[in-house]
Amino acid sequence: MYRLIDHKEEINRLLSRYGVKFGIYKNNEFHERLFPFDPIPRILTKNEFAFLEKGLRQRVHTLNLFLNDIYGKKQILKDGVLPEDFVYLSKGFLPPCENIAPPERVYNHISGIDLVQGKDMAWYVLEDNLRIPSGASYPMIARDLCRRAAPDTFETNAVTDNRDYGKLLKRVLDDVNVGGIDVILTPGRYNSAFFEHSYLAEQTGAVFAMPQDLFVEGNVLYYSEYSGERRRVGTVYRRISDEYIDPMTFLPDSLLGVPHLLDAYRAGNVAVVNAPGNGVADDKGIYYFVPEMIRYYLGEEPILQNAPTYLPYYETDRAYVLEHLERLVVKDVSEAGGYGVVFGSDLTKDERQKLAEAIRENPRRFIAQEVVDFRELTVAEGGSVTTRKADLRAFVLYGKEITVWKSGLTRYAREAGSYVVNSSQGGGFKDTWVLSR
Amino acid sequence: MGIISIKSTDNLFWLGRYVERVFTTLKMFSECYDVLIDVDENAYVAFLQKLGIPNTYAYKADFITNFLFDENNPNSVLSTLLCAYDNAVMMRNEISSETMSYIQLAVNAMQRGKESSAPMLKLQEVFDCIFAFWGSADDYVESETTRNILKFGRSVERLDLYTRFSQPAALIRKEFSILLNRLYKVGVDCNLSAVDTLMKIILEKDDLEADKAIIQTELSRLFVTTPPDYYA
Repeated sequence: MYRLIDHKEEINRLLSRYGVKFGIYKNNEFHERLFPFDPIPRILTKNEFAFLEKGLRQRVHTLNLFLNDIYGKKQILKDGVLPEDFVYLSKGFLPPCENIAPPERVYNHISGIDLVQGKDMAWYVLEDNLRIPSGASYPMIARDLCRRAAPDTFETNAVTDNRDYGKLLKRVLDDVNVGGIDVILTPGRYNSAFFEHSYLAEQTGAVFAMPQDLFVEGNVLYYSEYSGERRRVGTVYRRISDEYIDPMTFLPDSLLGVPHLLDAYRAGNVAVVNAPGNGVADDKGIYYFVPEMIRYYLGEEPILQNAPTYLPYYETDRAYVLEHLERLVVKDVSEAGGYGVVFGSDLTKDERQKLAEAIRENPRRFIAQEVVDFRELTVAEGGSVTTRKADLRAFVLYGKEITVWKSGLTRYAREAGSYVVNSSQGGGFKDTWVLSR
Repeated sequence: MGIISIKSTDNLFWLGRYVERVFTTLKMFSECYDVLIDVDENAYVAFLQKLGIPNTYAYKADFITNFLFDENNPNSVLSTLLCAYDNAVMMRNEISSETMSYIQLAVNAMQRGKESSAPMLKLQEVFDCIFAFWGSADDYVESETTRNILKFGRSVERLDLYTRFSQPAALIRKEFSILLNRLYKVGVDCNLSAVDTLMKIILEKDDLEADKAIIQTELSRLFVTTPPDYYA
């Protein structure tokens, strides 16, 4: 495996050649950046993966049941398992999605579950990403290059091939397809994950569409061909946020959406992947309740644990948070991508006071967590090796069945001691090996 | 025929044009560069006139460096290559990651050339990448329509530049025949009156100098796409 280190530069050069980049806006300008790759993989043993797989299936299944419930009967609210405020005040809760039954009753077709492994080797779920989680393409393309760079490494280690993600994704798109072509809808070239959109279109064979290529007529979504013909769309894997997908229903000034898309979806004439409205289930406030949801919907104990979390919304939690701010990490529930995350220990006394005031004023806006001391992973750095904090984004695909992809995106902090692993904040990535024996 | 949108045909057509613009411009630039060395240090002025580009360069060395490598100059070769890249990344699923990668490699080579003490030597890598791009397009692009639109863009650009640089009429006729062949294969709407005019001039006249402007205008009218409003 360590032979891969010798080829780190070359593999990164090849990743650049294939346009493995992400976009970032800085000072209102778009820049493309390479996503630094570290060739030393995260390794999950067969047993370890089996444990994660079981826990992830349980969690993703539950979240889908929750979404069905919350946009339907709302039994969980009636039974008092979860305060109504957390649903109705969530930015991700979309009233226009009420009582829509998505094809196969699947909402979260592609879930990106962020986990960390503590120094005690226990796994904790840090975040559920059920809207448009990105990142699967990076380990897939990196694996291809690593196999070329050090074939003997793969001869001697029983590493499960992860290059089937395109097939798994296509199966999901086909599973929920209501008749017509599969389309991957991108907002365009200047989206931060554009590389992934185009790469997944290539890998799945789905038609790659820009918003202006699609239109709705008679509650049916069509793709407009240059020949003047139109093709009915059965599944649209949209990589556009909910608020922009349909200007007739959501943000009226959105130029990225397809007018009346929600009407076609509501009429059952197209599957939208992931379903609109999922934001209510991956809200950082709702996260707190997922273990309880598992007990409620499945009658099972959660296999995967949340990081110890406090909700300032509850008075006792609020008192604890305010008293221990200096050792907690506080997250703004409306932010994503590593933004709005504040480590109490990094703040001055004044800054902590201001944060405390903000929490008192609007407790629903924040959650606080104990800082999980992540297990550090080995990374190649400047000709030798060192260790950095890393998380794991596991991808769970949900069509007619639930499949956990036998790999994942391992992101690592590039600064020693840092917990920030997000690509937008300068993090790098690793492949994730799942051993087959 | 693959499923392809109007916007995609536009991207493919312009991808073909921009790649060819880089290729032929660099070829012509190389000839000009040779003259600039020790024959005529102002030869770049005529070169720019032929391309219809304003002379914003103070002197020979300024021209050589900035015409090739100035990313902020929309007329530079690097800017043109980046336009090709912008269209290529949009079309990854059609042209394949492999084919797209040669444009990225060409961009990398240009950027290395900028830092090099012998930039003209580095430009050979750009030529190599472009040849590889076309070879890869033949091998990896499954849809014949996609290949034809791409190559149609190449033909239009090549004819435009050959005309600007007063290449021999026989060479222009040969390229025009290739273009006609492509045009029929592409199977998209084209401007038939433009085709007629071009046929009358290119196939029937031996001296094309007087008709250069008409040829360029008609070439720009050939391919009919309706770009979305935001793209205009």
